[in-house]
Amino acid sequence: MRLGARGLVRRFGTLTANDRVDFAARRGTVHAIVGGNGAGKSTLMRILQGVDQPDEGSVIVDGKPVAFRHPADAFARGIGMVHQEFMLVPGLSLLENLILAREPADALGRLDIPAALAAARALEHQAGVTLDWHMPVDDAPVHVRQIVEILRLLYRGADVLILDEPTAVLAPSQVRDLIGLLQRLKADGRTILFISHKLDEVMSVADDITVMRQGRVVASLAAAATSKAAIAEMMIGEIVDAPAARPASAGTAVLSVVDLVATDPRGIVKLRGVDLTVHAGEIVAVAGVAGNGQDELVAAVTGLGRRLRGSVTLAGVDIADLPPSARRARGLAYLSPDRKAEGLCIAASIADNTIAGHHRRPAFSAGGILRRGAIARHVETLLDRYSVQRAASDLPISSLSGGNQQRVAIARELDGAPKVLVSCQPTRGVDIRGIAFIHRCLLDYRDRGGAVLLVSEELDEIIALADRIVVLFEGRRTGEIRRGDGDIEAIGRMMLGERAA
Amino acid sequence: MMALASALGVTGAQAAEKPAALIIAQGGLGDQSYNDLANAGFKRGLEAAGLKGRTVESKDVVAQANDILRRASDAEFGLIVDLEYSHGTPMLEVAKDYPNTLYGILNQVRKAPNIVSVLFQEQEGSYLAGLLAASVTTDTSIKGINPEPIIGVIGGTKSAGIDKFIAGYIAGAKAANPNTQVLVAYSNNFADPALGQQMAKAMFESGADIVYHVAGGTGMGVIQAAKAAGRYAIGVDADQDGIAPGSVLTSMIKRTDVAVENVVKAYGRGEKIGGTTMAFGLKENGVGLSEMKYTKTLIPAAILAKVEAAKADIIEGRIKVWNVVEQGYPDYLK
Amino acid sequence: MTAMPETALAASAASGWSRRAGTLALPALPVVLAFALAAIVLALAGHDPVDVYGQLLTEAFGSRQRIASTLAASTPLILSGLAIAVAFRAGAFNVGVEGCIYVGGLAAAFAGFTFTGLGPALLPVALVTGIATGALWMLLPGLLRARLGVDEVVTTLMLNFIAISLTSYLVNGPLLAPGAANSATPMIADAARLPRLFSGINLNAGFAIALALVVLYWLWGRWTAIGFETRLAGLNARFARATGLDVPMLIIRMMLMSGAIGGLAGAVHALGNVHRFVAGFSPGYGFTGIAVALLGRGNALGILLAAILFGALATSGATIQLFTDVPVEIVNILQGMVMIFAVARFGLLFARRKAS
Repeated sequence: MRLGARGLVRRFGTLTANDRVDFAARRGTVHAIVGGNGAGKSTLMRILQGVDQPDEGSVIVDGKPVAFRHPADAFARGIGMVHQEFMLVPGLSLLENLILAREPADALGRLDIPAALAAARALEHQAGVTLDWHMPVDDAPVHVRQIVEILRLLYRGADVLILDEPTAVLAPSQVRDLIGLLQRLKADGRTILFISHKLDEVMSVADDITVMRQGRVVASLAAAATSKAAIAEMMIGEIVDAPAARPASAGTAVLSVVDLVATDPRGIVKLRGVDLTVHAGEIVAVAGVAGNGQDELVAAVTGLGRRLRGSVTLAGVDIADLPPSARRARGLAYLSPDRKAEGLCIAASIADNTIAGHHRRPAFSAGGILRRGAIARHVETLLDRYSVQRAASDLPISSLSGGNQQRVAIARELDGAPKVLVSCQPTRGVDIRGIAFIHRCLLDYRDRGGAVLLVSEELDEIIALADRIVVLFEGRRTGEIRRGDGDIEAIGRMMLGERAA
Repeated sequence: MMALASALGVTGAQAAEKPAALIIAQGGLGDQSYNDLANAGFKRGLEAAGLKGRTVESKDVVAQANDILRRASDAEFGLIVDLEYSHGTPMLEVAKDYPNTLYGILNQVRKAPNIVSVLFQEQEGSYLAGLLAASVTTDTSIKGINPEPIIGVIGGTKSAGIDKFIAGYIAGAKAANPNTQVLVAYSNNFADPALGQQMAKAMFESGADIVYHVAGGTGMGVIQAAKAAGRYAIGVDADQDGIAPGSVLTSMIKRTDVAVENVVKAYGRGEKIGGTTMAFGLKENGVGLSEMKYTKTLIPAAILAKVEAAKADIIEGRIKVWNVVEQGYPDYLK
Repeated sequence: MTAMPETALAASAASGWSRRAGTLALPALPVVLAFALAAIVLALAGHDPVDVYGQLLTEAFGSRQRIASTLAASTPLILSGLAIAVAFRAGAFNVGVEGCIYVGGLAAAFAGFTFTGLGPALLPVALVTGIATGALWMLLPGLLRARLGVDEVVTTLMLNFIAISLTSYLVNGPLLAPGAANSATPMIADAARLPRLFSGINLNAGFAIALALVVLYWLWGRWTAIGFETRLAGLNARFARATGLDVPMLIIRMMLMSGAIGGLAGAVHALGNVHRFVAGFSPGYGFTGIAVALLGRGNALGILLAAILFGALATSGATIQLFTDVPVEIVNILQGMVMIFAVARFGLLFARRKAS
């Protein structure tokens, strides 16, 4: 065994991110670690890299327990990490990035460019690729940067490579190239830890698969001995409770998108012509493996991202070309998946976060002057209604727990009777009690006639809340399921690209 | 005149015990020019008079005119010499409130019983510069000189203060050779070297081979043009000979240090100089030509002797150079 | 005590009495450190630090006249500090206030010696001319930052050089006072002068204007919708946008506001103190203003106190030379140290801004 873990435990407060994790990656194999969001993969990676230390148990290298205090310790044992956001230095060429911090020097201590280039060519040959080494990093396409990142680890002597969601940024043909590269490295005797939730890729590249869910290892098995469907089921788990299903009575269409095509911030088309309608009194969930166009759908609806084509209609008005402020004015509410960076203003007070966006309502300001008394009363009422546990409302919101922070965000978004709520990962980082509360809020809102577009990576959540589930794969709809119609396996298949019959 | 005042000055003799202050102008100490020169003179004056004194500098000297002048007055300084030009007007206001304090201001006249204004007889130095230029301009034995009796002068603006230099220059030139033609132009800008270069170039192309500048930063361009054309410039205020060695024929220097030193000494002797204008000319060694470190060897000894003779004539009062500020414009510069 | 709901919308750092005490104590730390370090420098140079500090204190606050001098010296710093704080609240780091002071000061002086037929209306006209010129000066960097994401630090810094060169050109050429050999415009008309606040005391109405603006700034941050929005945009632009605020427009407006206050600083300096525009008009008020805004942590009272501190150093630093052998450099070192410690904290803010 080249790299593994034995009884690894890592706790953050009451949350156990890694709960007695065991796994073993054999030398010269590709070992995949799969699991949904919050399954504990990232925590495990941080420990294997030496960035974080376990509370119990240990990392195993070459069959022996080791204690990494620092990433350099891990690197000294040949373990290197390819990050999702690449660590290349802008302004330098690919070659300069490759040799950075390990520059070959000639007898006079000067940078030995020919030697560097020779080393680069050798690596290139090993990996079976060809690169223009003098290209500035800034001009290099994403997949080239990824290759350089990998070769840099090899150049610096790593023989265990940890790749975190390496295909998230790649086009399908580039994914094939990467898999080819990984297989060649494996053939050279290197060990690869491959983290992903894209099961197609995992099945095509991995020798062994470790499945994680809720901090635990659910199974560790040979890829040959299992199937995609079996893995998917292990990832998702059993459906916890019967959904708190109250029958919905859907009314008129509130939000509809037609033939929507949108790009991510890099300009890559991620949403490729989606139709979708949400009616009053209905929760429509978008299911899919992360990165299949959900973010772009939300960005196009809220106006926070780029839309190439298609219409977005809110209560009969085309809002596709309106700025976010105008969409909000027409009754759109948006619960951001990124609570710390977008959903809340972490540096501001609880009260400020509660009133932000509503402060221009006539009740709260007149002629540009805030009615601070009215605002304060409203904030207290709202926070009490949502049971936000707080010492004082003028404290920074960072003083609240994640669950209470999310309550503030929901309280704000549902304030003022919006027509539609775009709710993304509403319970991410929220504990069990908070989850139940938030789910109840969404269902209550629906029952009052609200329309909800729910985007979540938690299938449990989607099944518990949604009246209809729309499945996205590679930016297209692969199917739609009504409450009670389908089973989890069918959803899982559609998430992996199989079209509904 | 001053000696007479000192003989009568009873209060003056007492006042001379109070310390003196020197307010440094924009640019501060270390400018190796105006401020440093004046400060050196101040120190010499204090020593000679056996007085105590302080030098005050500030980054914000323009804005602090009132502040510093009043503070020094309150603090019983007997003499406050101010080098900052923009303090002239504030000084008038402050001086009213402190009749027992003596103030000194340079390069301008401020009328008050307790302000002494210091002026330089720039026309006298300029006369020597004109005399030298007009003598050299026809001596083709000197490199870069053509036979035409044409020289030039560039002023920063059309004003009595500047024309004082120009009138003296023309008078000196005519005294050397009545046929000399003096080209006169104004840049209307004191900080545009490019403009200065252009104007000087035009003069050189019209046959002038020596151009005197009285135009501050614009004059740097005049010196550059002279260097580029292989002709000569004449510097002003400080010794500018070293800016382009060999291309600056001479400089008309104002000896700020001499002026400040003399003001302090007069104050120390208890002379009643308040309300007067002290003029520093050739006689007081307040103005004069540079030592011509780089050009002396080029100029025939006869010409240098002629300049020295003219200097002696002015000092002895045999020649009186026209002063535009006091006498208005002469016929040859209307 | 801390649960007073009305305080919730105040700048988050300034709510609750205990925390307010903290807001004042924390910025005091760099000041204390700077004075401590400068004391060592003084001692090494052979001066008695206690004696020198005592002298500085006397020169800054020792009499009515000295206090007036300190307040007069702090006037342009209060205004430039506010100008920078307004932009900084919106998340824009405007280092171009120095340029605004130059163009605003020249414009106000120009109005003051040109439109002399206006009578009593001349003063307000000259002030408004300075304000408008300063605001216009910041239009371009505001637009570039808001619409194209061009870093305003670079553009505003460049505009400083342009402003200083442009005004220098004008004051040496077209606007040069007739007959003057020094780079200065004609004196402004008496009607354009800011009157003294008290007879016999050298403090003009510019200080009252600056004080009024401090109060307005406080009210703006606490009571106005746009003040609230500006703060949100500055703290987290992504959040502000998601909440429906037009962040680019806010940035443009605040850059214009910043320029207007910078222009006002120049106008007040020209009309109240110098009474004309001269070369070397500002010894870097716009840059000291950055330190003022940082040291005051963008807080109205903090800015006022920081400006008075720097004003006191400037004024006492000049006049102390009349009484001791302490060279002006020592006071400059002291000022510089306060700035460094104020800026060190700013490094953290800047890192946060780059991260978001």
